[in-house]
Amino acid sequence: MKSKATKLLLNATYLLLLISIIRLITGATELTSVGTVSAALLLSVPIILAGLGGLFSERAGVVNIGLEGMMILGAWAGGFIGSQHGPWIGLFAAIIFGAVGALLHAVATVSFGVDHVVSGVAINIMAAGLVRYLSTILYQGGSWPGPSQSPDVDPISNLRIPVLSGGQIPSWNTPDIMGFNTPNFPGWQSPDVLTPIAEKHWFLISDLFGVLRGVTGDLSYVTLIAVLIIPLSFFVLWKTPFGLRLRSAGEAPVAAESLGVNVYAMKYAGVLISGGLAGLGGGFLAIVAANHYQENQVAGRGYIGLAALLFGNYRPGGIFAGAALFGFADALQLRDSESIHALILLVAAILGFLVYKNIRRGKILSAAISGVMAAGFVWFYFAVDELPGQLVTMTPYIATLLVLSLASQRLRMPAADGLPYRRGGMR
Amino acid sequence: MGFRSGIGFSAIAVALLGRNSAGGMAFSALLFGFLEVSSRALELIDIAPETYVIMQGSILLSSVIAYEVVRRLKLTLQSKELAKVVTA
Repeated sequence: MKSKATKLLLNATYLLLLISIIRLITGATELTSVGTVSAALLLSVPIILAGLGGLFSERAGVVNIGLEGMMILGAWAGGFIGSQHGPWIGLFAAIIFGAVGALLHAVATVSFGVDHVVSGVAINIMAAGLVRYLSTILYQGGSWPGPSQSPDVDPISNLRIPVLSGGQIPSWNTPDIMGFNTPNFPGWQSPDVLTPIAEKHWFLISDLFGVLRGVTGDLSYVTLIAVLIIPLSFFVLWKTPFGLRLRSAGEAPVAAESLGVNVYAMKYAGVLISGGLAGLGGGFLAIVAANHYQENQVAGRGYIGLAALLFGNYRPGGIFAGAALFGFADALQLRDSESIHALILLVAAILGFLVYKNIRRGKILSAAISGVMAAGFVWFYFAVDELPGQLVTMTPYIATLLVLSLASQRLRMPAADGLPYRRGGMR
Repeated sequence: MGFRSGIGFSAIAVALLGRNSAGGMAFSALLFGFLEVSSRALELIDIAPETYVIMQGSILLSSVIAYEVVRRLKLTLQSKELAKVVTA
C-alpha cells in the first residue's frame, strides 16, 4: 500500500509527463512556460479562497450562494480602504467586509431559518447594488477617478526566492560589539537558474523547471498566505476539536446538540470564516491581481469557487485541484489563445485516463461517457485548426466543469447541508 | 431600452419572492419592474439610481424573514391553543 504522499507525487509526475508529451506533439511552448504557470497561480488564488470559504460554511451545514456577493464586498473594500491606507490594511478591510456580508447571511439562515439559497441570492443582489451605489457617491465626491473604478492601491512587494528564481539575500550589517569591527555580510544577488533551462524546451526537464520557476518566482506574499490556508483549513477542520464540532453541526446538528455542542455558534463561526475568506479573495483581486477595484472584477469567481467545492467533494484538496485547473486554462486563454488548441488534447488525454480508471473500477457506464467525450475532443482537435475567440474564453469553464464532474464519482455532501435547524428540535 | 443582462438572475429573486406560486411571481415581477423603471426619477434629484438594486435585495431578504417569523408565530400560537384544549 503506497502512502498518500507518494501517490500524490506520482500523480503529479504523470500529469507533468502528459503535459510535456502534449507540448512536444503540438509545439505549444506556452503550455508550461514560466509566464503561464505564474499567471495560472495568480488566477487560481481567488477561486481557492472562495472555495475554502464555501468549505467552512457548507461543512457547518449552511449553503453559501452568497460567496459571490461577499467577494464583491471584499474587492470593493480592498480598493476603497487599500487606496487610502495601504494594501495590507486594504486586505484586512476586505476580510471584514466579507465577514459583514456573511453576518447578514448567518442572521437570516441560522437565526431566522430562512431558505439558504434565497438569502444567498439576496446578498449577491444587495452587494452588487451597494458597491455600485457607494462607488457612484465617491465618484461624485471627486475622490474616485470613475464611477466604477477606485484609485490605485500601492503594490504589495513580491517574494523572490534566492537560487530558484533569482532573488537576493539582502546585505546585512553586523553590530559592532565593543569596538571590534565584525565583518559585514555584503548581500548576494543569486542568478536566475531556472528560467534559461525552462526556455530551452527540453522534454520534461524544461517543463519541470518552468513550473518550478512559475510557482516560486515573483510570488506575492498574499499568494503565499492563500496557498498556506489550504493545509491550514484541512488541519482546522479535521484535526482540531473546533473542526469536529463545526463538521458535526453540518452532519447531524441534533446529535451534536445532544452532546453539548453549541450548534448555532458553530454555524455562525463557519459562515463568518467563510465570508472572511471570500472577502480576502475579493481583496486579492483588487489589490494583488489588479491594482485597483473595478466594477465586475469578481465576474462569477465566487460561483466557480462554489463549483470547485462541490465537485471537489467538499475537501480542500479537491478545491485546489479544481481551482488550479481553472486557473491554468484561464491563464492559457489569456496569454496565448493558440495554446487552447493544445489544451483540448490535454483534456482528451485526462478523460482517456478516467476511462481506464473507471474500467478498472468496473464502472462501465461512466467509462463509456468519458470515452465518448474523449473521442469527441480528439475529433475536435483534429477537425478544427483554430478556435474562434468566443470558444476560447469559454474553454476554462468547460474544461473545469467537464473534468471535475467526470472525475468525481462519489460525491457526498454534509448530511444536514442546507437544512433548517432549530435548537431543541423545534420547527 | 437595449437588451438587459442579468435578467435571468433577477428572475431567481422574483421566483423566490413570489414563493414559487404563479400569481405571486407575477406580482413580484411587477414590483421589481416598477422599482427599476421608477429609479430613473432618482437621477433628477442626484441620487444614484442603483439604489433600486439595494431595495430589491433588501425587500427579498426582509420578506422571506417576515414569512419565517410569521410561520413560527403561528406554530407557537397553535401549540398554545392546543395546550389549552388539552388541559381544560
